[in-house]
Amino acid sequence: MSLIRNIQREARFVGANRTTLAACLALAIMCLLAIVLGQAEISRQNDTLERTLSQSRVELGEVFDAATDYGGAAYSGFSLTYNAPAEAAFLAIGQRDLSPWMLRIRALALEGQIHESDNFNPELSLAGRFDYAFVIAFVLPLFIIVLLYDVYAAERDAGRVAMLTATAARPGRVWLARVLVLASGAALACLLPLWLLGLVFGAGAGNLLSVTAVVLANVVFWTLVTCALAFGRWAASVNAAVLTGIWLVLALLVPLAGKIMIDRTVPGVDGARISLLQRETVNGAWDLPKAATMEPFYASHPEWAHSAPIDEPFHWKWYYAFQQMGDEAAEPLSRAYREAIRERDALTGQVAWLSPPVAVLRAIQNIAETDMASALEYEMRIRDYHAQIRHFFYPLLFEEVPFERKNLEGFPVFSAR
Amino acid sequence: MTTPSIVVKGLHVTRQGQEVLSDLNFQVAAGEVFALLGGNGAGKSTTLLTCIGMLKPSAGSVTICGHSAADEPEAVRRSLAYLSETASLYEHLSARENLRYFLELAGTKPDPVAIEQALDTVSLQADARDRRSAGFSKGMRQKVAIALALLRKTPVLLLDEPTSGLDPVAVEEFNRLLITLCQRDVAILMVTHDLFGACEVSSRIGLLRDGHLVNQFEASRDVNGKLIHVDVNEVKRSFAGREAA
Repeated sequence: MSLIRNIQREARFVGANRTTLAACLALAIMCLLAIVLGQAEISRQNDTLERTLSQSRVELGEVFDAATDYGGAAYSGFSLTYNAPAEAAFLAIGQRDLSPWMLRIRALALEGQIHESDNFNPELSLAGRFDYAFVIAFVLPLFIIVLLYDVYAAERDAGRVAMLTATAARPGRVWLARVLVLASGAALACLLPLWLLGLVFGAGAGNLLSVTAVVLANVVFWTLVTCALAFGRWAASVNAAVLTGIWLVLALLVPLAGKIMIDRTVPGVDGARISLLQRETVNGAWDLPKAATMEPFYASHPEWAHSAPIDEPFHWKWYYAFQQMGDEAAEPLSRAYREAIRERDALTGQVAWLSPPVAVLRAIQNIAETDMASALEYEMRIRDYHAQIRHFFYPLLFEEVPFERKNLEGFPVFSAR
Repeated sequence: MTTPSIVVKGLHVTRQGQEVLSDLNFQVAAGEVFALLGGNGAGKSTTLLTCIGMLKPSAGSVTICGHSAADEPEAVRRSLAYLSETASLYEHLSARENLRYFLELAGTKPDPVAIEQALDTVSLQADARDRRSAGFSKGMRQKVAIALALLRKTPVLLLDEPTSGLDPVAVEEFNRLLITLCQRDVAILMVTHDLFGACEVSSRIGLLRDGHLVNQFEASRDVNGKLIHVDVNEVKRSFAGREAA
């Protein structure tokens, strides 16, 4: 009998089992719920972005209209930077829970603005997020275990193995077909909601295909692991206990041990330290002679060295020079911070080789562009934009161009991806 | 004896380093019931598992309808039906659905009319046929399993402790079904603890002990061709004598 006919028969057989259907239905409902919740969060973020973006433009225009000098306009003019959600972001909220996805910045020292939220209580990093990536990485394996742990042992315990063997011309195909049908049931329970809601929410066929590949790879991995035990000599209850243990090790213990190892290997830099160093430099500059700021500033930015000497007690170009010097003082620490994040992320990638749930989570976050690389890329875009703001104001400040409102018209606009 | 459907020749089977069957020889012809009688661990179930190809002989052979169980398992499985001690059906399926499933498993197209006829033959109550088999008694499960054997029209039927756990009425019905199958020229190999049941339906009885066939008894026929059962007391004496030895 062909494998196709075996699969058709086993599909009817499995379809008549209410317990199996209920398990697949429960998994499908969890996937639906996870996608809907993810989309609700992304919609909320989009709404916030849309509202804030239009408000921010109006406010910036009002600030520029009311300004009497360029330094004041640069001081009060906040611009919105944002990391707009990618089209598949609702599948994995990822770093959007932990790293900022929207930041209002101005021409002042940047490091303090970037790291000012680092001391917020990251409670979401503890609770985690119930999104599609979480369901696929951590819940789907449990459902596969539930569906398959007793696929053979239950038959043996019921005394049916000999009857099946004696009845089927090729008994191996019966087991293969049954495992394929059960694993396909779990896969379909995950993929139907993905494609149905994914297309409605505009995730893009390419993204959906990539996520489908991840889901199928995960299904295949856990099916093989489960079958390796399920077709052994152990009783069904022992299979269930051992498989749950394997899941615990791969989903919880390995990632936990990995985190401890990463924390010890790459302790990382505290963002608050960067903020503090930058602010200490900026605040200290008020008490220093202006030359103590301007000389090193002109040395590192010779394009403005021809600027007229400062005779007044306060001048905006001095103010922005010590802001920049504050950033430059914190730069080594800031670079070390980013390097540490990249290194920790790379090590987490190595841990993922030992923990398929972590690998799945990272793969879906990568497709959804909510991974650490995306968060760092957003930070670099903030830095680029801040540099554009400085480059916009510096000629006006250092050339001491007389104030005219029309000169603010060319103020750079943050470009979304 | 007509052409034997089951031929067990010089069979040795070793499981986990221990010889479970040793030089076992017997034959079962079409229309004959051969009962293998023995205590726990005598090798009864091992004999059946070797016949269906689940265990490989370390020496000797099992031939079913001319096919070697070791070398032609697919042909052997097409020729036999097997009824396990528990007669387990799938509890989430009804009697009819179980029959359809196992028939498809055997590569036979289920015919609804034939299924009804088979269920009529085994006298399964009409109201039970579409009920999930979860609540079936062992007797009812066995009827469904026998119906499967009837539907598959296999020339050989292997029975593992078929009457254990059955009430006397169910045993009587079961024996009646065996006789029906014998009349259809099915060769039946039955392993059992049940001395009385074995004597009642078997054409021959083999006494199995520690993997050896130690004695055989044959029923005779009267002048009208009616079966004269094997004498229970004769088998008991032989069994007791061997036990004492």
